Amino acid sequence: MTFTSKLDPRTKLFLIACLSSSAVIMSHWTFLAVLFGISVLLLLLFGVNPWGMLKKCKLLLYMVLGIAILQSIFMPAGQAIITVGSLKLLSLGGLKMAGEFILRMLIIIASAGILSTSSSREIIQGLVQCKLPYEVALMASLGIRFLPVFAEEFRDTMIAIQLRGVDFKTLPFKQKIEVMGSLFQPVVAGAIIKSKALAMSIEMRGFRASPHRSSYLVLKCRIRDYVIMISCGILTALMMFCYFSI
Amino acid sequence: MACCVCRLERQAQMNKAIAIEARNLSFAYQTKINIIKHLNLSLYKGETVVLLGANGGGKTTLGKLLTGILKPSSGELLLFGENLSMLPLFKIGQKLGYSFQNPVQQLFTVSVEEEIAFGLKYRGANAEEISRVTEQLMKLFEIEHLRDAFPLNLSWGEKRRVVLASCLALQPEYLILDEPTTGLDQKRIDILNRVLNNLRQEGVGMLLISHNQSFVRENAQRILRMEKGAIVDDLYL
Ligand SMILES: Nc1ncnc2c1ncn2[C@@H]1O[C@H](COP(=O)(O)OP(=O)(O)OP(=O)(O)O)[C@@H](O)[C@H]1O
Ligand SMILES: [Mg+2]
Repeated sequence: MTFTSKLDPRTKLFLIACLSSSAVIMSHWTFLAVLFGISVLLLLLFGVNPWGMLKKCKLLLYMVLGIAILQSIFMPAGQAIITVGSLKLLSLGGLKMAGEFILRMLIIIASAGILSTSSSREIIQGLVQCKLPYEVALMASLGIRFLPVFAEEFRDTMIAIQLRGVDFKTLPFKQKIEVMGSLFQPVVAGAIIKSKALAMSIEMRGFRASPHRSSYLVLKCRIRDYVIMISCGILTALMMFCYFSI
Repeated sequence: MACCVCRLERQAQMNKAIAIEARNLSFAYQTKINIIKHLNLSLYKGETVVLLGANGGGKTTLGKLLTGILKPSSGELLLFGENLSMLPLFKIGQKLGYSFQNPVQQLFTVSVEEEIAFGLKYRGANAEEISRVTEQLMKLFEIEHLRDAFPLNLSWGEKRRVVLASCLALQPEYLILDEPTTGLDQKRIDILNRVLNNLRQEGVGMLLISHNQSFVRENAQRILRMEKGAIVDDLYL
């Protein structure tokens, strides 16, 4: 665990780039299943609990599942499993496609999980040392930073509503919509106010004060980083070769 | 001295019904460090208790536990005799008024008037009652002129008063206020003192977390001091 957590963030970036691009390129479920197995293994190696991660992305998973179901219904291919009249409702091909989609999404979620074992500062530095402009790298990571702010804002609001003795779940539908509609503005405004303060404090601490930045944090790849990157590259190339030669 | 406190405490226990009780309560955030350690505490109906302690001592954490926002890692909590962990948050909210240390966390509507009316409205009060209570509270906390203002744009002290008014609109049986005086000027603290005193006359119990000496002196009937997640002092005045 200590071994993997001390890896250079660039190694991790390289790893997940290989993983997620393979997942996007390959569209055969056996390959995807193998990739999925690898990504679960990697998660465990990096000390991330895959089950805990799944629980955290519950909403996203429901969405993925919903899309998969729709996809398998609207893209009938191959042998039919359930038919209504002349309409193929569920087909073997559609089911396969849905399965591949789910696997692919899970692999990408797992990649994000691997990346989250580095702090955002390290990842920015990793991107910068790959010659990406600092501003762009920072924007990318602020985008990630913004999501939890938003989620937090929403959670606080739900708590505050219940503390006023109102059970949101059992409200009649019309009132639910009414509350949701009126919440939208304050929740968004709250998140924007927080982000504005964040941006201001970043500038006040001298961000963009001079054209050249020097970093206190300098990343250095060690031998094990190179070993992992090279072996990962070879493995990816091998899998691609197998995939395209079938 | 210790004996005297003991006797007084026993006397209090005999005379008063328990509002909130904590038994062997422990709590840790994700960091796994116990912030609250094996804490035992009884808060009585109609009694004003002030919770003191240094920054980071766990006062806010304890307040959130007693309100059910946080779930204890071990131990038991009873609210008016019911197991608090079995009660959904909205049921707790119907009995207990809680104001966050940071008022921003509690404002979620588009106007001050709606903010105060929210709980009553969605708990089925009629329009007449809603407007009567809302008007009365806005007048009391001197925020009538802000009735249409967007709560998140108010000044800190104004936000605080809106939150307090929103809590009181529901006529809770027990109040937990986390540093209610921060950001209030002396005039508004005096108003708050008056309001709390009236509630006390009506038999509402309260737990006040505060660093403000004069506010504590004005309100406290019993003082708890917290240090590193444990109650180290429990004094009746
Ligand atoms: N969400 C959290 N995650 C991890 N640790 C936390 C969290 N919230 C608070 N803590 C820690 O718990 C301890 C107690 O915090 P708490 O807010 O209860 O203190 P407090 O007594 O209310 O202090 P103050 O007087 O500053 O309001 C602190 O050491 C704090 O760093
Ligand atoms: Mg506090």
